Amino acid sequence: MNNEEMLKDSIRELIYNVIKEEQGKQEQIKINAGVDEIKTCDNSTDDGFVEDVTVISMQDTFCVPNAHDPEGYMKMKQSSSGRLGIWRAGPRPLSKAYVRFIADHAAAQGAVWSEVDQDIIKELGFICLESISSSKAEYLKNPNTGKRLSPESVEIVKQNANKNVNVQIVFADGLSSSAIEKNAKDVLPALQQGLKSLGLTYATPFFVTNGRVAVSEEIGELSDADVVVMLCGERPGLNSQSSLGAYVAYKPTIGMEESRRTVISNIHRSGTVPVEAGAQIAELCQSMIKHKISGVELKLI
Amino acid sequence: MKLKTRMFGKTYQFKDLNEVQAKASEQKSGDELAGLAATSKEERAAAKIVLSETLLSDIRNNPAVPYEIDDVTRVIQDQVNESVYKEIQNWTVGELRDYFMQYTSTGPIIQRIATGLTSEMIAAVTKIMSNLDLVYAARKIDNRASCVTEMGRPGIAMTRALPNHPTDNIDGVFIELYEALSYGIGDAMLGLNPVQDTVESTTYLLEKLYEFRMKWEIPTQNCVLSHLTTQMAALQKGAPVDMLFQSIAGTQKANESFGISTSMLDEAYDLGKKYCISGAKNPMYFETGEGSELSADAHMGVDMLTLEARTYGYGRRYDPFCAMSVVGFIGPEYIYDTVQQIRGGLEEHFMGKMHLFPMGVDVCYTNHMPASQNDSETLALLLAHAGMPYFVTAPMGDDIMLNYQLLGNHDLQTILELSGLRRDPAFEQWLQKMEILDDNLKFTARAGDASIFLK
Repeated sequence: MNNEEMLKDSIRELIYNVIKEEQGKQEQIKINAGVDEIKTCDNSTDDGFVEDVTVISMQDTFCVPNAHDPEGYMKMKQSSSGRLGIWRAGPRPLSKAYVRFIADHAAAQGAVWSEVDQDIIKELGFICLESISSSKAEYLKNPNTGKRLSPESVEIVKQNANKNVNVQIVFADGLSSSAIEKNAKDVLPALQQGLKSLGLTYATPFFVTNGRVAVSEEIGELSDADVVVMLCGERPGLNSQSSLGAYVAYKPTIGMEESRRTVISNIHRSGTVPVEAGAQIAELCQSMIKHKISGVELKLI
Repeated sequence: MKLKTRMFGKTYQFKDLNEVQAKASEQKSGDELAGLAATSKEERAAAKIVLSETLLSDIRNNPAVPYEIDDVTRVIQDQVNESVYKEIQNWTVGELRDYFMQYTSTGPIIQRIATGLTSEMIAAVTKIMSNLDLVYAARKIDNRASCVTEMGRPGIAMTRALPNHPTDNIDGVFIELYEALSYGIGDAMLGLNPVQDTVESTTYLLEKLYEFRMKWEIPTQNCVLSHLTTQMAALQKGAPVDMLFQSIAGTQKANESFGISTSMLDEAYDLGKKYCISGAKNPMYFETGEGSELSADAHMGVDMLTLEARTYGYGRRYDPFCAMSVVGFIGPEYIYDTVQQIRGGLEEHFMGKMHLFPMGVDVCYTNHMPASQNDSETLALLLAHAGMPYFVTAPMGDDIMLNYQLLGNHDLQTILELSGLRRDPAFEQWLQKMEILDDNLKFTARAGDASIFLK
C-alpha cells in the first residue's frame, strides 16, 4: 500500500468515527423526542460507507481462489488493464466484478450524456458557445450538427474574437463532459503559462456545448488567430471516462482535411498528464507559427 | 414494377426500387443521417407492402448500384445460379418469405434457393421479416467451412477469443488469451486486433500465437487482424498464417477507401490456399458493419441493410471460413440504441446465413450509445436460438484497446448451459483434458484460473 492510500484509509476511518459519534448523538435526541419520532427513523441507521469499488485498479483486483500460480498471475496482470482474474459464481461473474462493471459503465455513459458543471465553466472564465445540435440525442445521431456553431454563437465569437492574438483556445464537451471537468483546470493554466513564456498571445477561451473537434474550424475562420487549440472530450472507455484530446491546427478552415491537425490524445491523470500536455501544446503552437503549417506536414519538418 | 400503394385512403408513391428498399428498412439512425429513411411509420409500412409484392426478377434487373460502375454488383450478379434463379424469378418477396417459413423448407432446400438470389433480394425479404421470423429461418441453415477446425456444424456454438491490448504488449495479450481459454473460449479462433500495422509486428504476433497453439495442442486457428496487404506480405515471408482477414463493404468505392480491390482479394485467396499453414479449405475471414459505406461517403444512395447484404454477397465470392458483423461498434450515428442493435444483429445473422458461409455477430455497443450489457445479453440469447455458429468475447466484455463492450468470457458457458448448444467437439475434449470442463460439460474448479497456462 502506498502512502497516499494509507492516508486515504486513515482519513476514511476518521470520517467513520465522526459520523458514528454524530449518529449516536442524533439517536439519543430522537429517543428523547418520544415514540412518534422513532417510528419515522426505523431504517435510517447509517453504519458508514459501503466500500468504494472504483478505487482499486484492475491490475490489483484478484479474486481467483487456490490459483495454480497466484504470483505469476499477478505479474502477468500488471501488463493489462483488462478484467482478469475476476473469478465466477457458477458460470457467472462474481457480484464484486459485476458491480464494478456497472459503476464503470455508468461513469462512461454519464460522461457522454451529462453537461459540464457550470461552476467550472465560470471558474475558468470560459465564453460559452453552442453548436447547432438541439439535444444530446441529435448530437449523437447526427455528428455534423456538432461541427457548426449556432447563429447566436457565431455573433458571440465575432464580438469576442481578438484579431491580434496568436492562439485561440477552445474547449468542447465532445463525447465526455467529465474529461473537461477533470482536466481543464490543470491543462488550461499550464497551456497559458507555456504560451506566455514563449512570448505568444492568447484570447479568452471558448467552451462549446455539444461541440465536436471540427467546430474549431469555424471558430478559426471567425477569430483569425494563427493557431486554434481544440481540447475535446474523447469517447469514453470503461477504463478511461475522462480523457481529453488536443487537436491543434494552424489557420484552420471549414471542411479542411484531418491531416492538417496535430493531435495529442489520451490526456488524463493516468495518460499524458494534463499539466505536461499544456506545456507540450504551447510548444506545438510555437512551432506551427514559426513554420506556418500543422499536422502531417509539420511532422515532416 | 409497381412502385406505389394506397393505405387508409392515402397514396404512397416511391420513385424507384432503392427508395422502396430504404424506406422499408426498420428505423436506423444511419439511414436517417443519409436522408434515406421513411419519414413516418405509415410510409415505412407502405414501403414494406410495396416491397413484399415486388418480383425477384425486378430486383435482379435493378441492382442497388449499376453493374457497369461497381464491381460489388458485378460479383453478386455473376455468381447467381441461373437455373435456380429461373425457377423463382417470378416469386414476389412476400412469397419468398412464406417459402422460408414452410415446414417443408428445410435447411438444404433453403441453401439451394439461396444460390439463385442476389444480395438485394435477401435484404428485401429481411425487411419484411419480424425478429422471430429472422431467428426461425436462420435456425434452419447450417453453413459449414473449415480452417484448422470446422465451423458451422448444427448444435455447435464456437467463440473467438479477443485478446486486444492498447500497445500489443505480448504479456498483456497472452494473459488475456489464457483467461479466455480458462473459460472455454477460443474454438472459433484466437483473433487479435493489433495496434501496429506493420509486417514485422504482425509476423511476430503470428509466430507467438502459432507457437502457443502448437505447444498446448489447441484445436483452433489464429488470426492477426492487420490490413490484408500486411498479412499477405507476412505470409509471403513465411509467417504462420492460418487465415487472412479483411474488413469489406458493400460498394466498390467503400472498398477502395479500405484500400482493397477484387483483384487484391483474389490474389489473397489464392495465396491463402497455397501458403496458409492451417491448410485451410476456407482461408478468408471478413468483418463488416452497417454504416461503413456511409462513413466512407460511399453509400451511393443505398440504405445500410441493403449495403450490408451486398457486403456478404461480395464476401461469398471467397467462401470465407466465417464473417462477422460488428453490430454496435460503428457508432450511434448508424445504429442508435438497443432496439436498432438487436434488430441489426438478427438481420445481419440471417442475411449472412443466406449467403452460405458461417456468420457471426459481435454483440456489442459503445459507451456513447444508449445501450447496456443487459441488451447485449438479450441479443446473445436470441442469436443462440437462431443457431449462430460463433460468438466473440473478451474479459467481462471490456475491450481495453478499442474501448467498447462485447460479450464477456463468462457469457458463453452460460448460453451453452441454457440453450443446450455445445462447443466444437475437439475443443470440448481439449478442455476436458485441460480439466477446465468436467464430464457434464460444466466448469471445474480450475475454470477461470488463467495461471494454469503458466508453465
